[in-house]
Amino acid sequence: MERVGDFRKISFVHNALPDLSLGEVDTSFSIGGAKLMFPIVVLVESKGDAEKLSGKNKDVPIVAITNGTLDIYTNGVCKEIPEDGHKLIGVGDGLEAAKVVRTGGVPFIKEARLSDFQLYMRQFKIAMFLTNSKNTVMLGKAPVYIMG
Amino acid sequence: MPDESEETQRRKIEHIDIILNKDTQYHDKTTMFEFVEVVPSGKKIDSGDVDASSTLLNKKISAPIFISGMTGGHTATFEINKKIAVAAARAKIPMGVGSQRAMVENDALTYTYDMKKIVDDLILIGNIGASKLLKYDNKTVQKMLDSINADMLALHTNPGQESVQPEGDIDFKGVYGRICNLAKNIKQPVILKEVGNGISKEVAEMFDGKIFAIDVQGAGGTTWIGVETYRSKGAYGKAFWDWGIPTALSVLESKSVFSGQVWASGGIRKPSDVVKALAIGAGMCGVAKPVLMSENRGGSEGVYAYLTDMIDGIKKEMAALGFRSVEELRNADVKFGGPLTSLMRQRGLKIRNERRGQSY
Repeated sequence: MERVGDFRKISFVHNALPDLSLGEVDTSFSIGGAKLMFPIVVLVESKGDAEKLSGKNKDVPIVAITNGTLDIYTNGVCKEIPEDGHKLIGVGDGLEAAKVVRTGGVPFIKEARLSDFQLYMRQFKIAMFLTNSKNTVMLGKAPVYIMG
Repeated sequence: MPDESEETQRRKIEHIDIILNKDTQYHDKTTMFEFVEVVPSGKKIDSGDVDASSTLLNKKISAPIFISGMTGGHTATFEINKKIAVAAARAKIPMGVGSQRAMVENDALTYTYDMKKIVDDLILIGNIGASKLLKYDNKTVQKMLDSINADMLALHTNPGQESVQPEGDIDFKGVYGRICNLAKNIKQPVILKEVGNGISKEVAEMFDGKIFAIDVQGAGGTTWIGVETYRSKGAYGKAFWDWGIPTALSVLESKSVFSGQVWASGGIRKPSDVVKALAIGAGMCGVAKPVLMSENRGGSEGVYAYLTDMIDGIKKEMAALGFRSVEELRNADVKFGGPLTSLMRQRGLKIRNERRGQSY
């Protein structure tokens, strides 16, 4: 698991004419066989915290890491997958989250930032729209520049 | 509830106010013209012997620059357009108007765009949002252009701005087909222009052979995402403040795949920006914010002084580099440096230190 990385150097190539509407972008995201409605996960300290938070936040993936396992709670239901191979990277906004997905990682925010989740998802969707990415698989292949 | 027309008019005023009074420039991105170097020809030329003139639509213009469309649709913006138009005609420089949506919604506002009524010897570029073509048919657009005797049509595409704008249009599905259909069926040549986020080679390629020109309006000047971030008072625009393709790179990308004219706008501030843009293949260079600032400070005289200073500056730059005409400048050797070279490689643009036959 990594903390906030420097994603300022990655710049998506702007698509001036997306063949999309912002409303139709599909933000669902697969991680280790688990299908999530949103690609940004909320990282908490324990399974207990995850279970409690998950029940209160519809479709928001809440994740706890215990003994090499990612416990992903969505709407109160837990899916356990091996942590290995999944690069969780802390992000400070939804555009950074899109860059993490583009580089094959899983963006996370801490519980303290849960109130920003909808804002970050709006930003994430805008990044998808402006790269003409209908879904997160397409976002994962969107053209980028590495600046500097 | 205000009707759509009132809302559009109010927005126009807010835009002007923000551009004149707030920081709306890119923070972490530049146009990248600082990484373009025009190789001097070695010839000794006096600036008095330089001819910077060019032609557009078979009409002679003082230099290959134009005033990019900014405003219209409100009494106050009529005054701005009028002063700019008088200066543009006097300096023999083409002028664009801002989005004509307000006059489509309310034809009483036509006068705010109808600059040929003020000065008839003017190349006038009409303007409407590309996404509006989902709503407006070709007949409506033709009427809109004819109402002001526009010589050309700039279709602005601004998904970045619309995404952040509180009342933004966030549906671009099918717009490409509408642009192609419109371009075939209206009298005026069509220019596709961004509003500050640039045109990539993927988008430019789709329009090869379909429209007259692409005006890249790339990153490095005014960010309209920034302008809308002020208006929306929301946090989500801040993350996208520096979103976009630097103008110089966008020109190179577009030139690599689009055989029509590629125009350079977005952060064009100095004569050297124009000279570099022309040397890498731009057909014309657009200026906007400096014109608005000049108008705000000195009215029509202020704009005229800005334009003549810019044209003189272009001539001096050309003389210093040893180019007597724009045609000679277009065949200059060019060197690319630093990060621009790296980005060109990443995007599969051929790097050559000498520019011949559009090969970079």
